[in-house]
Amino acid sequence: MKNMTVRYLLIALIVVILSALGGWYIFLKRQQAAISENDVGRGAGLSQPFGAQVGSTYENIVSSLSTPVGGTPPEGGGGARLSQVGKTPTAGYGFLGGGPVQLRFIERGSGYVFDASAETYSLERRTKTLVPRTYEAIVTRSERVIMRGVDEEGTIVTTAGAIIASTSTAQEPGILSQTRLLDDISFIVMSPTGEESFFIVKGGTEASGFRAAWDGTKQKKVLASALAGWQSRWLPNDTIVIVQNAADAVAGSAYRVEKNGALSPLIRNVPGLTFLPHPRSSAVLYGESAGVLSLFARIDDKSTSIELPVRTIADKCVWGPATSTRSALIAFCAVPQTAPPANFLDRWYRGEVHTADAWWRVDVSANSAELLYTPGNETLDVEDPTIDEGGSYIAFKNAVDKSLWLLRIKE
Amino acid sequence: MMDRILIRAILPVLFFATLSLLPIPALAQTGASDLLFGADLTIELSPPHPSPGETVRARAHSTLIDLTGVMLTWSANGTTIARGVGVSEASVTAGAPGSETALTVVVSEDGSDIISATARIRPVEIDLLWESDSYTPPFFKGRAFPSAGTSLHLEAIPRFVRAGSLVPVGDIIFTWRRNGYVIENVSGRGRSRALIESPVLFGNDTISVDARTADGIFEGGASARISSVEPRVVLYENHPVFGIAYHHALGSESQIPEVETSFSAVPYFAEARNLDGGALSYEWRVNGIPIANDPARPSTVTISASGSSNTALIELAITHVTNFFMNSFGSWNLQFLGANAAFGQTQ
Repeated sequence: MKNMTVRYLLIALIVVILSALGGWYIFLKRQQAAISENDVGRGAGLSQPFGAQVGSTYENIVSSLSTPVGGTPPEGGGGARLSQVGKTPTAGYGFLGGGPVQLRFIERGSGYVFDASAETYSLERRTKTLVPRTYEAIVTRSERVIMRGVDEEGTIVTTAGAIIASTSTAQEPGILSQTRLLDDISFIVMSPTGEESFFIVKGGTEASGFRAAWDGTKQKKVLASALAGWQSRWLPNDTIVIVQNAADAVAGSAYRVEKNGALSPLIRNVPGLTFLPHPRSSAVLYGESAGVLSLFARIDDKSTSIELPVRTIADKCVWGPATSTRSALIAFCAVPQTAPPANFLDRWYRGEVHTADAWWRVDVSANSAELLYTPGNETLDVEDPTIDEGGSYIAFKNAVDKSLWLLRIKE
Repeated sequence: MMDRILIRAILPVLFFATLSLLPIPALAQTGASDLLFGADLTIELSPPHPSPGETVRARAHSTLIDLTGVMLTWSANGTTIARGVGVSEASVTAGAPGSETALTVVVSEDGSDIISATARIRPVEIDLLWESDSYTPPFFKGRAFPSAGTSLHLEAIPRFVRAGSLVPVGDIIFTWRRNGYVIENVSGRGRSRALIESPVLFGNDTISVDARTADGIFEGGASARISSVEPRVVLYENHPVFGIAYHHALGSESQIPEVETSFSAVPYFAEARNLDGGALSYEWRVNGIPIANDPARPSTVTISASGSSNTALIELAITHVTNFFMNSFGSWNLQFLGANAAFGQTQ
């Protein structure tokens, strides 16, 4: 009898426990449904604001680089005529020297360094060091880069970086060793070899231009100026050229910085001056913006200027493969397909207006121009074009969204 | 008879004595050789201080000789460039920097030289560069324009070539002028750079600089008309990953492909070193309602359209804490779409 009682009690206890567990299970399930509902309400499960589900800008680049724009790739390879290398903003880029045509670029959001092959579309991420919000970058032909951003106080921060390859056998990205340069460098340019830099920094009432090693050491002051608003180019013959920041209808000048710090004029008092010196000759392209855009060329120091038959600014041009022969003075220029609005230059620099450009091949020696490529429905506002050594590709940014593009010159 | 002789003798003396006291730069380079007592001859150059390679127009003047009826022979460094009766003008191209062109005109009548004059053309170059210290955002490639309360940075770059070498800036005397009035505190020997106040609100000033060597052999000038502008407020998206989209200013009617976005206002050409340094005061309004600033970043505002009509009228007034002339305003009607789109591609 006693055994029976114990048995009934145990059964009752088991029933109670099972009931409790069942109730707990139902309670939890209801709570989970409510949480899921809240999550959906908060946007969980939606696709990423940009890029793929995996959240990798790397994947964005791969997918876009393999997607030709404005036509299909020609038979027998060679790639598309126009390719969007990256959909996300690019901080800087440049072609690497020697061998197959390779374009190195640095993402604006991450500061990662990538190498892309212009011919095979292969892409390799070279660094894994995160450098967020890299507004500007300079790529050299060596393993060195310059990256520029802004800190919380609004100070311009410039760092010199060296790509250090991974020591592991796996092909994983390396790291970027960084050296911080002076604060508030208003402009910096690297020498063609990547060994040196020239930068302008403002201090007090005067701006100074320094020539230094790539990492900022061995600084030597080579320029003193009341002005800090300069753009600069470093030519292969070790000439440093500076150009005043431009404004519509306001006179600007360009100078060669001599070893003793003196400024030798290259172009003087041109309204809305934009300037592009030839890398290996004394030829120059310069734009005038004063109501309308005009592009001029001067073959050498002793020649008079000629007005070229395209209306654009020198910032949208790049000289063809460097040569010193007069017969090969070819420039490639992105030309707005419709007349830009008044005060274009000022408004363009502020990001208030954009153009839809077509590419033109300009024979400066013959003062003629022929249409090279029209991007169809794509709106390309070209800035910072650069050309590879062989003259086969032009890389440029689209100023509309800072995305990186690659144009194959030959059909 | 004696009176008339005396008058003929005294008048030219009085005339040249008076002339020598007049500061006429264009004539200062000329020297007349008087073969006929009492005659005068001067050469006026235009421009008075030509640049290398510039065409110079020379004009002969005489108060006592009727140049229309006499033979004039012009020569540059001994080579005849113009000749004829009444040819009182000639043109010559200025040489390279450091060169000197002796431009001579000889007046003759009936085969006899009456008088001659020589002007020496020493081409000089002076560039006048300027910019303001007004606010422009990092990496801005345009010129910084002056606005009321800001300063102008000026630099004169002279190229005076003597014996093949540039005359050092320290050996040159600079005279800076605003609207013709000398600015004494920035002028002087070697003072090729100047820091002066910008023109007043909506003002236009002609800033000029004259440069000359102490011996007066080299002299030149340059000028620029500089206007003050009103600071311009431009609104940009401030992306959490990519930063401020300086490349894409928002128009007065813009669509934002997000639900929540931060915006940064940039007052171009305002009197400020940075946006959030305390010199500028920001008053934001969204749909007419004032909203509190982020104390650390008053130039930035974050708008969330979640649960709203997805439109926002953003208004911003920017003033300066000490510069009462600065009062900039901007308004933007934004529509938040909430869809995904690429950075900086608002429509």
